[in-house]
Amino acid sequence: MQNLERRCQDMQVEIDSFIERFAVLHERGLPSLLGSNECLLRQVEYTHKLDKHAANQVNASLSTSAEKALPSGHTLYNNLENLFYIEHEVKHLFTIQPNFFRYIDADETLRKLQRHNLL
Amino acid sequence: MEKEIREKWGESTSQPPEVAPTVTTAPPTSATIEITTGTSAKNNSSSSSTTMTTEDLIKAMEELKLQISELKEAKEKLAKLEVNYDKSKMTVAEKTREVKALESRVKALEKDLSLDKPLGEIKGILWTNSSQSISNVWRSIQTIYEQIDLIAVAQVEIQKARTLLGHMPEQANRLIHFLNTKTSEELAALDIRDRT
Repeated sequence: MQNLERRCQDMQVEIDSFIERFAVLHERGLPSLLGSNECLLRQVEYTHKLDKHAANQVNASLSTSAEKALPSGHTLYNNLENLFYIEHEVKHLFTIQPNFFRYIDADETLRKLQRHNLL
Repeated sequence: MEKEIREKWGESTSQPPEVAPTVTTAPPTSATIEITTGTSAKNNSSSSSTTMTTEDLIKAMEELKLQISELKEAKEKLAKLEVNYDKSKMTVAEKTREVKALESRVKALEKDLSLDKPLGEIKGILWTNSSQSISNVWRSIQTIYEQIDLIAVAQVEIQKARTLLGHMPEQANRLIHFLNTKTSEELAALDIRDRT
């Protein structure tokens, strides 16, 4: 049980790290992974949401042509920095792919405890 | 013409005639025009009778011709001015159209210079890449959220176990002793494959 608890903590650390990184991406403009019921969206739904968001962003940038000022390096940086950041971070969101296989023994212990009605 | 003659007549005589003057025009070949009054009819040698010479008429005619030519010139000038005015109106309209075309061209160039289109394209590419990357790691994201649920279940179960074992410390110790004293085969026979 202690083993299970320790491994749960390890998993929690990894999950917290992921959630923290994704929160930063969300602040930078990446749509949330969760739906209105606070559950993870299906992949198709999220892809659709992301495409719609991207189209809105692109259209917004086209409609701001009223600005007379010529673009400077700073303007370009401001316009694209967030997107380059998001692209890079999403690509490297899991530098090590989460392999919860190593936690299977913890899940197994949990199941055993339940099976033997020890809990 | 008649008015002109009358004016001439008025200039030449200080007093108006008592009887309306009669103008007798000689045939075209005649060199004089005789203007007689009523009294002059009675007395041809009277001083009130006035004769307008051909020279005066020619002079009047010349003046009229001059005025006509001036009028013609004025008309010609007016016509020229009107043509010029029309031309200038056309030119103004043409220039206005050119200015409008240039303004729209300048706007288009400014838009190009603001790099809106390339920026939009770059943004589109970056979003597509991000979307693709998300798709690539979607399985991992799904796993993370599944584990969140599992951890929640596990924590509830751990809490329950703690509560139960807290009430049965002796049984817990015996269970630990039992698990520690049995071999792996014996535990496997009991369907316990892992001592932990």
